[in-house]
Amino acid sequence: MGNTGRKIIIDPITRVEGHGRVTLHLDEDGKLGQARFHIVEFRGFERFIQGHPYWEVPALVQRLCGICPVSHHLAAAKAVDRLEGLEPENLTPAADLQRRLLHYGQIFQSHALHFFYLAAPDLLFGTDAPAAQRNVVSLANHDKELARKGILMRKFGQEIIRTIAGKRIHGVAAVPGGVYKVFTPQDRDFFLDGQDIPHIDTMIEWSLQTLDLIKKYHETHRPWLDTFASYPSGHLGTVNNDGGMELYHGRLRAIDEYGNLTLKDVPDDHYRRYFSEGVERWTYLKFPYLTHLGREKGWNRVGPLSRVNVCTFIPTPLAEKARQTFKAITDGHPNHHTMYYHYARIIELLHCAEVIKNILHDDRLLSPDIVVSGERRSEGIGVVEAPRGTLIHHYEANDKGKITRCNLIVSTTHNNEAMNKAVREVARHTIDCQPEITEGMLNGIEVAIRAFDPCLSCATHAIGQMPLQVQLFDAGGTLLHEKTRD
Amino acid sequence: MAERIVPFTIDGKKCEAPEGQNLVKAAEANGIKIPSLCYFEHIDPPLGTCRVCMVSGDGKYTAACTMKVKEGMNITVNDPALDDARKAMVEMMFAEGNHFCPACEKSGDCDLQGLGYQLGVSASRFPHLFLDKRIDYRPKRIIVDHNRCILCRRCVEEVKAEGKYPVFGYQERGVHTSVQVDYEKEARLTDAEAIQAMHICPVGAILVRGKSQPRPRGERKYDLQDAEAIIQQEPVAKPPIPGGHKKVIATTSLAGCFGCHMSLLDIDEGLLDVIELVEISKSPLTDFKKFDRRCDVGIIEGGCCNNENVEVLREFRANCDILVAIGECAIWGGLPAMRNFLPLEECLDEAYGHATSDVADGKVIPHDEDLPELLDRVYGCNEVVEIDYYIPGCPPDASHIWKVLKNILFGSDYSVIHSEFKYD
Amino acid sequence: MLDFTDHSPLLDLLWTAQDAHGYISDQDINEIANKLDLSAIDVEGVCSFYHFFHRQPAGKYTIYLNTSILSEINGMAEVQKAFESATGASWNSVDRTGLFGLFGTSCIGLSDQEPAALINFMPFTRLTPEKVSQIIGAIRQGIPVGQLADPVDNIVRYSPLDDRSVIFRELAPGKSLQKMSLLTPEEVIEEIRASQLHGMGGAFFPVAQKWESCRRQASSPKYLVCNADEGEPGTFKDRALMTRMPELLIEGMVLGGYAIGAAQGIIYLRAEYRYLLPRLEAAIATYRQMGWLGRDIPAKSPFHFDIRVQIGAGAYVCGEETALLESLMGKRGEPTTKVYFPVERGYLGLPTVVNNVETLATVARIVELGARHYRSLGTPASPGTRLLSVAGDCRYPGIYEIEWGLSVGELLELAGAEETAYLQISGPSGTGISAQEKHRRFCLEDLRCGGSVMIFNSKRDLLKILINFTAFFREESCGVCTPCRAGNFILSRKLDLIARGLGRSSDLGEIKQWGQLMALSSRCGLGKTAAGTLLQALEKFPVYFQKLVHDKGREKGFDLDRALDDYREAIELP
Repeated sequence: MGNTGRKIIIDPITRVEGHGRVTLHLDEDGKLGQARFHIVEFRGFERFIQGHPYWEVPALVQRLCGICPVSHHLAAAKAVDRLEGLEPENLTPAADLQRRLLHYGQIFQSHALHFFYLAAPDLLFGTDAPAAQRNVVSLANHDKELARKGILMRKFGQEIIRTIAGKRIHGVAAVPGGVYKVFTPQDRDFFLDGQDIPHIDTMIEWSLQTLDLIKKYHETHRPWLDTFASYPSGHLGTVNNDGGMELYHGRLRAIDEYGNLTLKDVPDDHYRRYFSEGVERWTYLKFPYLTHLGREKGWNRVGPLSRVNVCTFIPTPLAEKARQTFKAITDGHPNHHTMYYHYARIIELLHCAEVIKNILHDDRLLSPDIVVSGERRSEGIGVVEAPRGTLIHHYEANDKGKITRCNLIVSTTHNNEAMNKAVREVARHTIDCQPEITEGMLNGIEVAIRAFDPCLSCATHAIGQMPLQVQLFDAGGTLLHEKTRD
Repeated sequence: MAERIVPFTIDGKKCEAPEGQNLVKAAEANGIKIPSLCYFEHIDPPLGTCRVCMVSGDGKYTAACTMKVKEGMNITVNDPALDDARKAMVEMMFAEGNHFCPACEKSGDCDLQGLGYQLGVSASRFPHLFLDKRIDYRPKRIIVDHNRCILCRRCVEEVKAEGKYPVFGYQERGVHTSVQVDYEKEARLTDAEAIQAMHICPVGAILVRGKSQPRPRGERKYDLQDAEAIIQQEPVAKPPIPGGHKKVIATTSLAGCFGCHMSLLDIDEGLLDVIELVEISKSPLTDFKKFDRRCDVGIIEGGCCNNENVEVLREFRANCDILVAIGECAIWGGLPAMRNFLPLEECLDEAYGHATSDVADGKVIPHDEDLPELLDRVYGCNEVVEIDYYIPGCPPDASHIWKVLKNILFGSDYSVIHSEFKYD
Repeated sequence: MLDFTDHSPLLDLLWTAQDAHGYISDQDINEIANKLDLSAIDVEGVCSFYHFFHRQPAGKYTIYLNTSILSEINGMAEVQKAFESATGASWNSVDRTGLFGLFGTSCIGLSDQEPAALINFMPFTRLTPEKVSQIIGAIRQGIPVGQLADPVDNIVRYSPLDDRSVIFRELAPGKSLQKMSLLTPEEVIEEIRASQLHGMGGAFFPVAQKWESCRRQASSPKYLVCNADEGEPGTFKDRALMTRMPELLIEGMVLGGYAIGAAQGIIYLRAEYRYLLPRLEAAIATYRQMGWLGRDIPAKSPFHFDIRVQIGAGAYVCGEETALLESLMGKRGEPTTKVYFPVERGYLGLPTVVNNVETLATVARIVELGARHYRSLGTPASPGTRLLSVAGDCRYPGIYEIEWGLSVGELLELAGAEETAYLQISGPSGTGISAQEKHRRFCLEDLRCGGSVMIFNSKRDLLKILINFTAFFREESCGVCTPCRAGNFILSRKLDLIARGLGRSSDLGEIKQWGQLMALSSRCGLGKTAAGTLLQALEKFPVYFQKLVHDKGREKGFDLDRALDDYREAIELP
């Protein structure tokens, strides 16, 4: 930092899962130099998992995150299947369907949580609303019916998890080669009879209503949404063999900013051939990128926006219709506007509801044939699309059953560069050459981050909290101006 | 010679049993369950290692399992000192070993855990020792996880190859004592004998490869037992927070995974009622970034893994009347404490040393004025500040959390049932 | 666990291997296991239990520097550094050439001559850094350790005058046995009963009662075991006795054997006293020659009796009689749950009496002098005399034979102690008293001293003493029961926290509770008494402890800077 520059710190980012901090460096003319999004925690899962028996890993590893434990559980379970020589297609239909139901159930709950509990206050009250208003409690006071729907949608997803995994958060469902409990007709009726919880059809209906909500929001805020934190980038997600959106087990596909394929539907367990991770001194979060494109250009966004971008179609009708409307907004080109993450997220919400309904009506779900066995291999890789993006678990275990190596590339990690870029973009448009910091500017940066629905705990396998203060210092460390948000 | 049935008393109640019968067994036959852990009927004489079954016989304290029925003996099982001593023994075992219930195959079937539930242990009064213990993969059929071993000694006495040769043996002494395997003799065990060894072990220390899976929640031994029974816990010592003001709570997640916060939200529609009675101040769920007023209750999730966690925790202590530690991480470190047995440098190397980097000097361990510094290990919150209440679980059951909170805030009735009280 | 199988040869087999190679190898373990038809894991278990058995090379010259509190306050730290620098070995390891192994060990019974160490089990006393470098230099030159070892002082500073002594008086070998030959076994017991003799090892059990119940047992053969383990820190009276008057011990054992009907006597001698073995064996040989050991011993009932010596291998807990017997049988020295008392089923499941060295020596004197004479000494409730080993801050450390009834103040005067602040009676497992309690008396009704008296003046730090004691129990715990195994370790850490200035008042309360818990729940005397001194100190010196803690609102004692050391080191650029 030059001796006439200054540093602005935004700390912590709230209404995200996990702990992060933003620093902005301005030069003597107030021109924005460096803008960084720091992830400030580290837990060391990759090291301490070593030494454990591999069959303990699916239960253990979901403690990476309390919002998406199921993603970790299933990614680890798929990796453990492979350690026992089993591919997803080797599992029995009942096991596969249970796992899928679990997976789509958790994405449904996670997206509902993010939209209603975390992001909605910004969208409904505006990014300039008083800080005291921007939370789920105000939302509930303002529109109780909407809040109730949000709560019940999350509940629906949580109940699916509870039924299959025994517990809403950090349950256990998968065993090597399958699942450990039969899904009974009573279990199924719970989601279809509308008694204790609303019917699955209601979930689809409410998803459509939420879609309408966000469409209306986009109609009234279009110019801002199309320019706010908008920058070209690559996108990564998994797709099925036909190129359709596939969230449980698919092939890795990435596109560049123009939509050209940079990763051509490769098998998920080949990820190592294509990805590298960079490290910076100023954050605990790493920077994955496509090796053949290099660090500068090889990074990709992940998550709902990216998945909607990379897939050729969505295999459920209502969501597919929504996708086509979405695609039309950018004339069929990839959508790079960060705020459209919310829109894409609701499309996925709808898609999950449809998939859940299909699975619940599939009788094979109820079969008691739930486990198969295979032969030990020394390596296993499991990839799923977690709510927040592509999640990779990779384990090596010796013939005695001990985990000897562990590599995790967690969804939000892919978005590291993207979030940094978003911060820079917003800062460039709103702070550049401004001597005073306003509330709106601060929140704007956070709004950009929030759109990614980052799971910062997962990302560095840790999470933390810090108070938020924005302080403007001169180079000599004298406090020039202070704005606190409370 | 025929057994002589003799009279004796337990807690003043008249009992009878064959003279010389083991007291734990005799008490059970008379309808009194003396809590025990290492006691295993087949082993004679009983082990007397765990000390959970402490009773007093005519004024002298002894382990009930080492006592034989004598005519006219007066046994006290339940009095405050003994009840507390039993609970303390269980707590000591939790502190001595590394019992990560959330990751353990035996969770739900584990006798140590079951006893903890029965006695209402929510947090160990003893600081966790975090002694480095191995997982032994070398035996042919079994795996021994020393983190979980409570040194009850059952396996040493019971498991014999060819009916004669001990397979397990104590090694060293003092706090370094461990149960090790005679590999040559273990290889001679039959499959059935190996599985039997796994079943004898009251905890998850002995596992048979390929035959150790967690069982479905709800079907495990301690899920089925007494699901509706009320957990005996310390009654709330303090009266509920006085004053008719709308109560204010603050929450934070330190080195946690956010699961406990998610569990807070798992009251679903109940949240709409709660927000009528309670205001949420500083919290990850709101944009209150600082303490703007004193809070009645501070809810802490997660332990301390860096210096900022410590600062935040101290701030919470200073600004909240009552601090509640929810979840295993806040109580004693939880799963992140698995790094406590490793040098910090190793964990950092593993994550960052193997990565490629554009930075010239190769391996880069993040450090920067804008990054917090990591602590040498993960600490439970009560090693840094005084904590008023503990709610165990990973994450704790939502109803359990809110029952405790409502009790603290409004003095409402507080009875947590067995099915709500879990460590995993 | 009720296993009386005879694996007695095991300890000696392990010693043979240890002495031959300086450690016990895998091959040794397997050979011994095969020889005794045991699982290798059991042989390993016995080996790893005892402090002096090593599974890794421990040096051609193995140095054990003792870490008792008296060693500490007399300059152990400097001596330790001197050993490290002279040998090139760091603490608890071996130097690169394998020549020297340097280890700590608990009190070795040389409290009046601290700092003291054993080198290949030969004693070295009154060490200073200069002396250390001389010794190591000499060893490097090839001078045998035995030549360099110090003669151990066994100074008797005081014995009652006017013919009122019992032990330290003129000794005519064989005198008591001549009297024995005119008595029946029952009459011997009667004489002891008349004397009201209580065991001198610390438990104070009436000797005649123990002998009688053994005598009444139907099974045979029977055993008389002498507990020469003397592990309680600060105790060295038995060392002095066995050096100066091993004859008394032997005669006492013959008398005991005769009384209870045993054919075999065993002296369980702690390994730290290995250098006394020649003296003991010479005395045994003499008595065999005289016809008082072996076959056809002159007595009213026909009687044969012999004595062998079993060397221990380094475990304080083997001073507990059931643990001692386990050790004798070739097992880990773990106290039993007393399903049977030793007099019913002891060594090899047969009736066994275990008596302390001093007890047996006193038995010989009682038979020699007569119970009536013995009763005329001391006090009516506590007749006779006893030996005290006195050391610490006093001018005249050494052995004191006192009549029961002597006051603490009188002892302090005899010992030339000045500015005494604190005394530890009967070692760490006993009682701590302040100098205000000088009026108290050594007798069965008040201070039942097992032999050890450690004197500390006002310059000494009580916390340091307590930390030393707690560390001792932590090391010596047998590990079988939770409250002792984990409890001592937990207390150790807690005291360390207080020593670092991070203690709070609540920590003192916790120490009290946890200590009481250990006393209630432990499986044997070690665990039950381990926290006793700590609890007494909290009671007696509240002002001192209050000064050690620093309350700071509702924060706990947490040293943030120290917790950040590892990270700061890890990020240090090369």
